[in-house]
Amino acid sequence: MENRIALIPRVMMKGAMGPKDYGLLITDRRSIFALEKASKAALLGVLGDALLSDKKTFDYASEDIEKLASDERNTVVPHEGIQKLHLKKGFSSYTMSNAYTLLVDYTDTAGRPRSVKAFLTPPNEFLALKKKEGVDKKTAIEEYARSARKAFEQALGASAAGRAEWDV
Amino acid sequence: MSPKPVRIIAYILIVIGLIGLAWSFQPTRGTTTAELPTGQGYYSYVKVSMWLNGHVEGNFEVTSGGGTVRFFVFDSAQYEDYSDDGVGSDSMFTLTGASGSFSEDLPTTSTYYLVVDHGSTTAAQTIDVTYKVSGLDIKYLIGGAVLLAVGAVLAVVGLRMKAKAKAAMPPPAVQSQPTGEVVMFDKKT
Repeated sequence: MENRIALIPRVMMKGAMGPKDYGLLITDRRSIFALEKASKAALLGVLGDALLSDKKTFDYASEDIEKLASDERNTVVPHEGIQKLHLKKGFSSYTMSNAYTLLVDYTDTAGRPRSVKAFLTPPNEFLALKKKEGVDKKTAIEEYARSARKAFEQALGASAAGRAEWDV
Repeated sequence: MSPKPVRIIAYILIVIGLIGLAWSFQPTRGTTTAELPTGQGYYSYVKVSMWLNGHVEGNFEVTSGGGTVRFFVFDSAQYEDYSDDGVGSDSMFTLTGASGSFSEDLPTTSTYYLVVDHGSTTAAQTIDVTYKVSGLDIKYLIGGAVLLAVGAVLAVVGLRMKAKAKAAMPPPAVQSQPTGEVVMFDKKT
């Protein structure tokens, strides 16, 4: 049986028509980047991003994992195929702010080498909540990335320690 | 039965009932062709039900057979007498001729009759009678009122069923405000 470990509510990945929002569901076997909605950030910049709704397309706590994984619009990274995982600190031109980038090199279930790159872009409500708590944006983004690291560490276990690199 | 179809039926009945009530105030227009066979004692009539009071007017014309006819307006008692003896000595309105027009008030709630019979001849005759009756039409009035009442009862029943169904439904789950934080699932799911 496959167990849910964590949900990173928002990451952003490049798409043919611009960046797209994904929810990242991490189980004990794989990480599923589930397409949430096409982001308008590319057109509207930071303002557009701020105007986007944070409503989730899926209920990740109850959604059928297999259904999510089999959706061809989603990206599935099998944990046993991960060769390198790097959470890198940088700058996102999409959000025009500091961002952590998740880079994963892996082999898919067919044995083909693949890589995925996603920006850990905190949802607006998270940033709003932190702002209310008196936490500045930079620290909030760092906190979001740290939580993501914790989630991956829990999902991958000790075996992934040698394959992971964390800048947070 | 679920509440929704009951309410839909109720609303349909109410609408039809209201149309019936409105229609009962409309003047009734009609044209009839009376065929009187050869021989004595034949007559033809149009029955008009009236509530409260109203008015009837129109005209008649012998279109074949020639001669004249007698045209009457009777109330129900007068009509009973006429149908017994065929004399028509007591009427609200009477006119003998090959054609003519009539106009008469219908003073009370009753059934009235527009009657035509042979006048100067016993030969077969065809008579066209055109009439307009103003006033409350009891058929539509009662029909509309009944449908309206049934519709209202059904509407109340439907609304009560809806209220009961709503009360029986579990309250919607309280959803926590999303915070956008990374979620750690703390149990095996």
